[in-house]
Formats: sequence, C-alpha cells, structure tokens
Amino acid sequence: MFLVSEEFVASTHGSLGCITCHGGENAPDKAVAHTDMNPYPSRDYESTCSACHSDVTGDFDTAIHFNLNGMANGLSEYAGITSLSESPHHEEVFGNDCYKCHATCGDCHVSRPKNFSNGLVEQHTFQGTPSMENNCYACHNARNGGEFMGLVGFGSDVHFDAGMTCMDCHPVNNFHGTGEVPYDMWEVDLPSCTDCHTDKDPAVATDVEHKVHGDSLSCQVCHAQANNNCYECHLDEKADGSGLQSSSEMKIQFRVGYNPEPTEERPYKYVVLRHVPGQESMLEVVGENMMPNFDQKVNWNYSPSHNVQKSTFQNESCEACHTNTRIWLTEDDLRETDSEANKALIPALPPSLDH
Amino acid sequence: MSKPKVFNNWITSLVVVAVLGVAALGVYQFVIAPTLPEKQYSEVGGGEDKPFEFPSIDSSSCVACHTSEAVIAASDWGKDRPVAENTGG
Repeated sequence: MFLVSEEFVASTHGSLGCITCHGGENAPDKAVAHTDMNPYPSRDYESTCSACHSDVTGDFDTAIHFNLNGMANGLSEYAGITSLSESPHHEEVFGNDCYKCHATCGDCHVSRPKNFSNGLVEQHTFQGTPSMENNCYACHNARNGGEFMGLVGFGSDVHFDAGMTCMDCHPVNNFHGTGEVPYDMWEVDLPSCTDCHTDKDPAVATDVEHKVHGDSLSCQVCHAQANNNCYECHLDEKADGSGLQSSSEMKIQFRVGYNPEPTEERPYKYVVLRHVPGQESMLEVVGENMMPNFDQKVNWNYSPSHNVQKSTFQNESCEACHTNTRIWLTEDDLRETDSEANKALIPALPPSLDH
Repeated sequence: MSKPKVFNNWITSLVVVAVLGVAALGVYQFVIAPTLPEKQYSEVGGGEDKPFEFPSIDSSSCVACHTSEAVIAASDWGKDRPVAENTGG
C-alpha cells in the first residue's frame, strides 16, 4: 500500500527526500525512522506544498473541499445559529467528527483519501489531475460520483459512457478555491449543462420540449435517472471509541418537487429532489436538542443528479411525465422523522394535457 | 534670482542635464545599489522553466524500505482498513 516507485524517487518531488515533507528520521530501524513521522504532510499544506505551489494553494482555504462550509453552514441552520462559532459544542462535534472528511492536497494528488481507504494511487507519483475512480469517487461514492459511474442506482451518466471524467466539467477552481468564501456548494461556480449544450438554453432553443418548458424545469427533471436517497441517518460511537460513525437506510427513487431555493442560476420551479441524511435526533449521541431548528429547513434537497441520459422513462412522451403520479413528491413520501419544511416542496399535480 | 549663464543656450542646457543624469545613474549603480539587500523572491513553481531551490534531506533509509516490495508486503500498517469503504458521501 505504501510502496514507492523508483520513478518517484527520481522525480522532482522525490528528490526532496521523504523526510523533507514527512518528518521522521533517516534510520534503518523502523520504529526510529517513524518517530514523529507525519503520514499526511499536506494537512499542513502551508508548511509543505505552499513552499513551491503557493500559486495553487493561495486560495485553498476558501475552497469547500477544504473548509466544508456547506456542511458547517447546514449544521448551523439546523442548530438555529448563524455560525458554528456561536456554539462551542457544535463546533467541537463538527471539528472532531465532520471536518475529518475535508480534503487535503495529498488526498487528491497522491493517495486515496484517508476516510475511504489507505494507499497510494500511483506509488507516490503526484497526479496533476486526480483520478476519478480513486479520488473523486472515494468521497462522492454514495451519490453523485457513484451515480455518474453507474455504481449506484440503475445506470451511469451519458457523459461517463462517453469517457468523460469529473474534471471535464468541473473547473479547477471548484477544487482549489477562488479567494471568495462560498456559503455552500451552490455558491461555487459550478458547471451548467448549457455551458456545452448551448442550443438547449431555453432562451435560444428551437425544439419544442426546451421551448415549452423554459426555465420551469431543471435539466434533471427530464434527463436524470433515479437517485440514491438516505433516510434515518444516525450517528453512533465507533466500537473502539475513536469517534462517530453514521448509518442510514438508502433507497433508489425518483421524486420531483418544488425547488427549495430558486436562485438566479437555478430559477427552476420544479427540480429533482433527493432525501439527504439528517433527522432531528441524528446527533443525540453527542447531546440533546442539537438541531432545534430542524423543522425550518428541508431535508428533501435539490438534487444535481449526475446520472443523466438523453432518453429517460419520464421524457418518453408528454404523458410519461404529466400523468405519471409516481414521480411527484407527495405526503406519502414524508416520514415522521422528516422536517416539516418539506411540505412546502410537494407540488400541485402537473398541468393536464387535455386542454 | 538670476539664471546660470550655461542655461542661456538651449544646447548647453541639454548637455548639462544629460551629464547630471548620467552622473546620478552612475552613483546609484556603483555606490548605492551594492549596499541594498538582495531582493527576496518567494519560491513558486518548480517547473522545468523555473529554478527549483528547496532543501533536500537525506532519506536513503526510507527509500530503501519503501521501494522494496518485500518489506512493504511484510508490513501490517493500515491493513486493518478496507481497501474501499463506502463513505456515504
């Protein structure tokens, strides 16, 4: 797992010497050699990577892969506070058990992320462009990454089938940051389908489907397949007491509802929804009433489903969607453990085609 | 205050200004500049077209073990972790 290639040793990074980044001692005895050795030197990237790559790392503290702002702010909203810094207990829980998922330079460019599995991707050779299978999928496996590659749900994404990877759509600043601190991932300059499919932009589209629906539907409403939904997420102490672990029930579904938060970039009335992990008692293992604001925030969220196809069951015909009551979010989909706010997402049935 | 006579003629004025300029440049270049501290550049890049000056620390013992398939295969470090684990992300 930690075999290093001769090619790496001879490379620019390799010529620095292991100890330059990892610490430890140049000694033949394993225990002595590993004294104070740091297996993850890029966690403190400013002391290591930044020495040469400050042009890349300069904005990394503003990247959500590093600061996990989306998760931190989501927890703050459930907790009814504006920032985790307002509640030392929430901040501690987040720091101990959530923040461990943040990415370091090495998690993408050298090894598999620690929380996925140990091991070097290419015997320590630095990958300028990370591996989709070993790096992106490692953290995004249960939803967008797994769906894109067809490992979760029913089928892969047409772009994956065409040989594309995450980095073909997501620009590098989605990972390295821009200097602006986003509130969550929706404030990141994410790619849009119409970046490439310019002729499908409702403003210029000439085909009837895109002209008629305009901005009322997100692309996924017609083109995504069923996605992975997590229910009853719960955190428990690990058996060895080293922290928390989560467990949840997963279900492949396809539900369309009202857009929880229309914005200028995503003004759609109807979007594909995804039930995200989270329920009011989720954090009871670390304290009581940790999420008093739970019912004010939806836990059926906008789903940027990454498993699109040109043809789907719901776009086979007008009736396949308009009269298909199975795809629309209803009261029956809401569980007792769900947020009350979800009720606002239940759409009126789509317009009849009889007129 | 009256003007120095050399400035009565524009050509002479031009010559005087040029001589003073060259003299000032010479003083800066050969007297002042050598006493200034060397400009510090931050270390960036490391690409083929950029200088790479970063200290190297002898790690020959690390390399000897970590490039040996036999040694690494015999290690149990990290083997308690699965090769792939669903992170739920």
